[in-house]
Amino acid sequence: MKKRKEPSPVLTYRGYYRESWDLLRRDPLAMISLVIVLLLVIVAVFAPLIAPYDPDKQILSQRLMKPCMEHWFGCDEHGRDILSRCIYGCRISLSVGLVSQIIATVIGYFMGVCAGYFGGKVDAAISFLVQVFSSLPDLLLAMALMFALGRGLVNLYISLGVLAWSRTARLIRGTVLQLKEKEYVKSCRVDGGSNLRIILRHLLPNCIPTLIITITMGIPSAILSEASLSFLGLGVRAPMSSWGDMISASRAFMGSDGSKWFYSFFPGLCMIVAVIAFNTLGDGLRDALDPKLRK
Amino acid sequence: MKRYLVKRVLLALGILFSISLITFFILHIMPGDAVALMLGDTADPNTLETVRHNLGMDKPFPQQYLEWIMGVFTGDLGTSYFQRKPVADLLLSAFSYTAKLAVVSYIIALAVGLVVGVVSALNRGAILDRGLMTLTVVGISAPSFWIAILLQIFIGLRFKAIPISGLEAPIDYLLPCISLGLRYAASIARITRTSMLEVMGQDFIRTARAKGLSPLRTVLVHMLRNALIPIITVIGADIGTLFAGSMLTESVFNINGVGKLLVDNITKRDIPVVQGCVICVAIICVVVYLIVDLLYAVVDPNIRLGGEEA
Amino acid sequence: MAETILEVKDLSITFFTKQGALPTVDGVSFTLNRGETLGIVGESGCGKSMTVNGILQMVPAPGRVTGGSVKLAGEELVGMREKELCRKRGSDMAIIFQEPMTSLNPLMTCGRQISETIQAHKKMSRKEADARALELIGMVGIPMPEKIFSSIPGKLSGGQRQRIVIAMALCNDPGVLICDEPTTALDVTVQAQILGLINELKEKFGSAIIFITHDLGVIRQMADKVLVMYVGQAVEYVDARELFANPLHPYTQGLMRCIPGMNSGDGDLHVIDGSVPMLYDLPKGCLFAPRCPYADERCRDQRPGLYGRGSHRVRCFRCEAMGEEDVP
Repeated sequence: MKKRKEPSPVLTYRGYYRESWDLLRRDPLAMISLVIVLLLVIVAVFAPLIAPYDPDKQILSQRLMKPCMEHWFGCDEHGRDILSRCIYGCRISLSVGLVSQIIATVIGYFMGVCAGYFGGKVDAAISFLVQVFSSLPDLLLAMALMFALGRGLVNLYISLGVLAWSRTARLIRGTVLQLKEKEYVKSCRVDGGSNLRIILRHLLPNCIPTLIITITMGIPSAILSEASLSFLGLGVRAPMSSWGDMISASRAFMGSDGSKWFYSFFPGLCMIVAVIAFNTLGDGLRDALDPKLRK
Repeated sequence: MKRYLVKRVLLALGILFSISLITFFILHIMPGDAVALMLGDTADPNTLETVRHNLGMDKPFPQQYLEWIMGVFTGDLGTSYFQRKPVADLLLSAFSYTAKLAVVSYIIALAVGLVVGVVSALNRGAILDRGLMTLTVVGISAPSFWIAILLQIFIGLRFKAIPISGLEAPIDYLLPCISLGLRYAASIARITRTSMLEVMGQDFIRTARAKGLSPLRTVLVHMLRNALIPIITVIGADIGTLFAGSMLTESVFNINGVGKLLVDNITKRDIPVVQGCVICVAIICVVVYLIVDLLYAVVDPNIRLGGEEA
Repeated sequence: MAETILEVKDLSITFFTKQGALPTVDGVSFTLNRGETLGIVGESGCGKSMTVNGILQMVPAPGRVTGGSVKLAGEELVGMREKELCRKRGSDMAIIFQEPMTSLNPLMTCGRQISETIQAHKKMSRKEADARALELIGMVGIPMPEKIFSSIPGKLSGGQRQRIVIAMALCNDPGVLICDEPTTALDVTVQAQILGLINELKEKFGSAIIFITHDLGVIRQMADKVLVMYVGQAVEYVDARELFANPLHPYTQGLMRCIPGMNSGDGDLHVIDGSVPMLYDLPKGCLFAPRCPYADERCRDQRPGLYGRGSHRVRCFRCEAMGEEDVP
């Protein structure tokens, strides 16, 4: 007799994400950060509509102009509007954060699933690789990769993505090890379900909460890494400039008495707001999605 | 215990070996040609070929790697293309700065973080606790180089007595240590608070109080020691990023440490130096992780048992 | 007349929560003489443990002692400065907690946990305190005291740990020893040993004991006097012998019927219907009325006082005839 495969509990439990959303909605910090994240996304997507000036337009008479009604964040050494440049910088930071995390998640998920699902030598080999990659500071390897690949937006995506997979892989491996013992996965294996089918149909849906959390938490660290790389001159190519590039450029123009503080200050402020918002949202999501915390 | 130790050391060596292989590979696939850069655009192809030969760059990749890794074991990390000095010498002089900066910053951060975490936990929910925790969120999220620049602008340039570059006199340490340590102080404070709160709720703390121990002894001997285990994990994980962070701080404050050496030579494409720096940081990280693992066993006798059984 | 060592009068503890002010302990009074054992009995959540927390002045937030007095050897503890309380705790009064598995510091050797208690109260060198601790470990019946002395609690069994806790509690010859369900978490065989040990040491150290349990069988073995508690109130307070011979409160009677072998032997296990009411939703009248087989209109409407004659006090209208209502 062919037994009907039991569907994954998370899938049948249709209220799971609804319930998570209810929990999240009741967390005021998470909701505030969610609003900020959405605002940042809108700013990034509609940068040309939102930015008050052309970010690359140089007006030399406005060199290092202090913040005023026309230029809220002041102007840089070429007389470009800092606010507009920050708005365009948001595009770079968010896209680097998102794309690199998607790359990291795809690699990390498959590595983690293979390690947890197949076990044995595969697990040993992948676990060793995870240890190798997590033994080095992310930034150092990213620097080496950027050094090898050269500056550029795509290279940033790749360097940060390829290096951030180990955390995802470790978490997914743990989740899969638990799932593997569950009845519905076992019964599917007994029924001769192909490995790929099990990995995609049964394990993936159950890993999604974990993946949502790792992506949300990974974005801010990718944003910080991108800023650090840009600061060291290993970021995007000019005239594009991210928040890190702007801070880096500002170093030469502090003014001998520090009167040009705004040039360094505002791009960093944007970055802090973004990082805090993503981190807080990640915390909230973790609380809302973690079934272990659910009662 | 002994078996566990041997296993951990072997694993550490394996990791180091893999890291060296990966970085060597990464650094040698790069498109830019260091030799062309070194000799300028006007050099003729013949000279390029000779220089390349002299530097051993025409040999096959595995051979280059083997020669390099054999050198590493004898303390020979190659010669800088541009400065014509042994990389080991450059690293050694740079390392003392990095080590001083990192160690001083981290010790201060640890002290501040522990105190803030304990105070916060003891005043859970109070305004003091909320204020301190809000500060730590900012501390964790702010990039260290940005903090460094703001410190230079708002403190260094206002108060001329506080220098904004170099690392010689004790006063030179002030700003770099704040900018580098802030993030770690914040993360240590947060984990200390969480860990303390967890320990505070446990029965043996009630016992300690019921025994009539002084509050100070209860906090230090009973709470903090037990709270230390998760804190040590964080410390271990921090050390790696500490070196990464110090690269940025060194750049901002013009300190001639490993980080600055690395950054300067990346732009010059001086591969032996870059490679030496990376492997140097890797060795430090792996050794620190090893020490942290062993430190666990010292702090928590319950873990030593697990190690024996495994 | 024996010397009174602990006098608790009208002790009230209130928890201030979102659901309002919850009267966790409501006007509990008793006296304890030197060398005497008082048993406190009741279901879980009756405020037994909170009563002893109130005696030690260790009520956890958001709770607070909101009234009454606790006099230890004539000294008032309610409102005493924390520093002086530290001097009393562990020395004049000591406590054995329910959970031996978790009430010892997992990272400190057993010997040190005892000797630090000694050092906290007596001017003694580390060496002397360690020697005394070793002696105590021998006294509580642990074989190979030297080995146990330098072991961490993780290597000990539950019974051994509870013996360490007992040694720790007795290390400064406390006048009052509080045992908060000391055997509940242990195996039955170990339970008997620990109870025997406590009785034996009581003789040796001459401490008065407050023994908290939900097990009337244990009370019969240990106690001279018994205080039966229900939802934060004392419902019956009487000599142990009298209690078992003539339980008056319906709740006490119910508890007795719940003990196998304790009732007339019809073989059935009795249960008290219903459950302990929530503190934020207390009945208007007698707290036990919803579960009481004898409850009438008056019981549901008014709260009974503690009535009694001589040493037998009962909080039940059916015993009103016994004598004057106790003050207050």
